[in-house]
Amino acid sequence: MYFDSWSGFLAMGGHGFYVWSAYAFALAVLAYNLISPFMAKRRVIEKVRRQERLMHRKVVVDDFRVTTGSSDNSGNRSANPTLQKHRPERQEAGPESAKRSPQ
Amino acid sequence: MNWTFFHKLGSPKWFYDISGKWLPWLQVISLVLIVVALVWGLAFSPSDYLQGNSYRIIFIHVPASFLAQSVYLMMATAAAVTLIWKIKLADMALKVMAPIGVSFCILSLVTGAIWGQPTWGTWWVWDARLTSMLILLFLYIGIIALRGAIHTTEAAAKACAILSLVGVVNIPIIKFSVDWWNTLHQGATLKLTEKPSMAPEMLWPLLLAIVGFYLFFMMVMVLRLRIEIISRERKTRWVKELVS
Repeated sequence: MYFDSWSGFLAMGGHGFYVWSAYAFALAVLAYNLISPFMAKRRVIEKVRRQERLMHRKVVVDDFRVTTGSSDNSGNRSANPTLQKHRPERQEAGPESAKRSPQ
Repeated sequence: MNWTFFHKLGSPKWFYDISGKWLPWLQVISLVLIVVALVWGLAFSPSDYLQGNSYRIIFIHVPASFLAQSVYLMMATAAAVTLIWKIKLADMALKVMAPIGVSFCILSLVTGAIWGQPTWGTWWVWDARLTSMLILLFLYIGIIALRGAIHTTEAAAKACAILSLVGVVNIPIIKFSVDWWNTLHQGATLKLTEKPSMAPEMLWPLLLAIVGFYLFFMMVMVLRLRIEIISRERKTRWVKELVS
């Protein structure tokens, strides 16, 4: 240990304000870099899940109205094992989610 | 020559899988190195005969400045790969590195200003090293703003790649600014060609801090890149399976 006492360590020979404010700012930058990916991760996963849910609903609605032309969903429709589970709620989910298209 | 590794490296799914194995190591090693280096530098290194204790800012100022410039060089490399081979992962890397580069560029400028006050008697001077570093910050911000202004992913990738490559001209200017012009800023502390002029008790924590900061950058870059992969590959089967 270079310093004799705790207060000497904090004072930094009169340069305490400069040294500690620089280190505090460094800590803030490191913390920002560490925390922001985790917040972004939650946002992105939520976005992907919402898109998935909308896709599923759209498939059900398309199926109900026997619309054609939604070629991007046709592959999903046959491969979708959860289709049966969605059927009962199509009445209330239908008109609203038909307007909202997935991103 | 066998190029399969190169195509594998460009595959987002392959990178996502392999980087998951690197992450815990990067996290532990980088944080341990940074803590050891900064505690050593703050509490155990002797004070400087000329600058007293204010020189201890070096242990964050130099690693942050190195990183700010290296991240830019890595972005320019990713930009070249994007333009030449059209590898999607390179553009994702270019995108996620920019905000990290900005944060370390700001850290470098702020710690430099704080160090300048007790050492030079001023927070800021418009000399070559400080001004070229400020231009680097503007370049970073310009690249981020450019991507935000273009909505098509492919067009944004190309524009950002070109801007990143053009901005590389600033890096040698920063590097040699202390030799080319009269400046308040001191010359390079560490040189590859010469023996360091620093005492080993100061040099060791500085080297540890530099390695720690670089590993920290790699770690947060990988974290951000994995999220960017999930976001851009969200239509693929493996991402859908991953999040559900």
